[in-house]
Amino acid sequence: MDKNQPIHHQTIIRIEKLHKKFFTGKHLFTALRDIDLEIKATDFVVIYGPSGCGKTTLLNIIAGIDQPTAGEVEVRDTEIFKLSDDQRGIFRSKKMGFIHQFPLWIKSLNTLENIAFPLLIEGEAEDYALSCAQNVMEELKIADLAKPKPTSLSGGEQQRASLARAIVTNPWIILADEPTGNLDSHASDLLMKFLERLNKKHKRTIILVTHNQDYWPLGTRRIEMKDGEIVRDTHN
Amino acid sequence: MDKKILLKLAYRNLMTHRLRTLLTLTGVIIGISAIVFLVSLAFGLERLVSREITGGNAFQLIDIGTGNSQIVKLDNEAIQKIKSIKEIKNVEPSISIGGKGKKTDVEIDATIIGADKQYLNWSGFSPKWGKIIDEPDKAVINTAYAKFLGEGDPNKYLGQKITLDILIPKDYSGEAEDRKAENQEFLISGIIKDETNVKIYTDYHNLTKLGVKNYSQLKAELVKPSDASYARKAVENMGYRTQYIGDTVAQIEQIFNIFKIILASFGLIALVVAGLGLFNTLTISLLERIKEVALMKILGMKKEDINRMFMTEAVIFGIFGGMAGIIIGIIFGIIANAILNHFAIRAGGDPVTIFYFSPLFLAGMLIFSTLVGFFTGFYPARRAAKVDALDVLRYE
Ligand SMILES: Nc1ncnc2c1ncn2[C@@H]1O[C@H](COP(=O)(O)OP(=O)(O)O)[C@@H](O)[C@H]1O
Ligand SMILES: [Mg+2]
Repeated sequence: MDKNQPIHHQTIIRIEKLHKKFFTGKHLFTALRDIDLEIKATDFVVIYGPSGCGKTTLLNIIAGIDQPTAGEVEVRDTEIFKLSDDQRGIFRSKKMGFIHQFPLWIKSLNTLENIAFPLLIEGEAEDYALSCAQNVMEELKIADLAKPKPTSLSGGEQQRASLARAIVTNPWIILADEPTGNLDSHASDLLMKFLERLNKKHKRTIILVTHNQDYWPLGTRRIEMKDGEIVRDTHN
Repeated sequence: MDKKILLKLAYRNLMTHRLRTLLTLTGVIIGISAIVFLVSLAFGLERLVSREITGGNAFQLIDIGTGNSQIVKLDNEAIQKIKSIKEIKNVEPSISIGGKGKKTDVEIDATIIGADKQYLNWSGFSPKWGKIIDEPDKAVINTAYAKFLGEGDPNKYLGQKITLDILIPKDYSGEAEDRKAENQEFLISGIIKDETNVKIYTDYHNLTKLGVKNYSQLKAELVKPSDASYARKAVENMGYRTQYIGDTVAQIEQIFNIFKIILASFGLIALVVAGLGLFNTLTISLLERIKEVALMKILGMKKEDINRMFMTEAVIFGIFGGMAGIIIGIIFGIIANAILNHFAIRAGGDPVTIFYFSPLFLAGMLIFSTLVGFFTGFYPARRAAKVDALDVLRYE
């Protein structure tokens, strides 16, 4: 069995008593307060809530980009904050894909090379990495955008390329933080369609932050946050 | 991460900022080529000077004289005694006395030097026209004497007869009075380039035949150069004075080493400026790409790999700047030498090589330049590796 394939209905992310505090000048600001959360491998989680309620902070902590002040985060039996920075980086690169609201690119590389980059980081051979990237681009219907620099693409194309880069390592989990915030409705719909397919067809765990209520029904589960706390958690 | 990929990333980044890369590289090239040019000049001059003095076997020979002593004499007995010193392989004498060169009704004062071929070879003596011939009736003259004989190409005097009056001083002959040996005839076998004062060289046996018993100077050949100080002591214990040109050469080397350091310092100033330029470029490159670095970190790239990526860029500047700098330094040296020789030949001089490109020095410069890249890249690379991805992304 493909070891990348998560076992269905199993918990893939377990968060316990998570707190996140920031020092802002003299004041201690609590961004996340006592979060307990279990996410199943088959989940498509939609997170929403007012700006500043801690959604991005939560995603960053799940991805191991940010550190919790207290609490534990376990991703498939791995307590990610017990890993070293480099180990956590490798873990993230292999098991998680991230899409930001504003995609970032390596400017000296073309779109195909950018998408292949996570594989290169893992030490894969260049030819192999590029052919994987090519496949993913075909899947997302952007194969013809391989040559140009990603910054020359439209917003929608960039987000699809960003998704391609997120899934090129065949990760368990895809984290998308307001990925459609800057897109027109057509481009947004297209991106969401791919996310849904990743969840339904490829059995990937999706965690999506979005304000757009149109997409809430896509999720198998809906989490509302407020002031650093989860105030509602409903399964569709 | 694969080293090839890191190299490619560094290369791509350098190529996306071509002008900046080129300018930074030019700085390094100027610094390195300045050092190569100046220090190779010092090397070249050093070689020129030490060759000029020694004729190449400086460390093999000791000069032996009497100083101002009236007691010790340099005669055949002395030669035998000195030859018996085991560190000494061979001894050759020379006699230097006064005389007159004669041409129909005119005369000119001349120094007459008696020495055989071996001695002249040791002295780095080489005629520009003709050669040294070890036959009793042959002599080598200098161009000063050729001028006395007449104008024009000195070549035409080869094989011609010269007539000399030779003064035999009493302390050379051991006789009661100075004596004059008149109308001694020789055939010119060679002419050396020397315009200073009139000199005529002939086999010393021609002078001993006329009654000379004491020599002016001896040259002793060492079995090996490391024996020099033993041999000198032994000779000095017999009451003679010695001179070892090896000492002079060592002194010259010392002086030139200081000269090299001074010249290298000038070049180093240029290189320091270039190093600052490189540092500046790398820092700007980091600040410009700080979001990319943050992205790389988020994508899981190791600190070590980020560090290496920046170090690669810095070292590329060092290696390529070094290689190009060395080549350009050599080219400028060759051009400068050619220009100098152009004027030297026009002024009637001989062409000389005043630049010497020591392979060891050039290899050292390449390593040095690489190290400059390495150390200049050190801080920006470490800074890049320490970038806090979240800090960077927060300010989007
Ligand atoms: N590094 C930080 N330092 C101080 N405050 C921060 C930092 N990061 C986030 N915050 C604060 O934490 C709160 C939650 O932020 P965030 O997770 O970005 O919210 P959301 O994504 O839901 O809009 C906000 O009030 C924000 O200002
Ligand atoms: Mg946010």
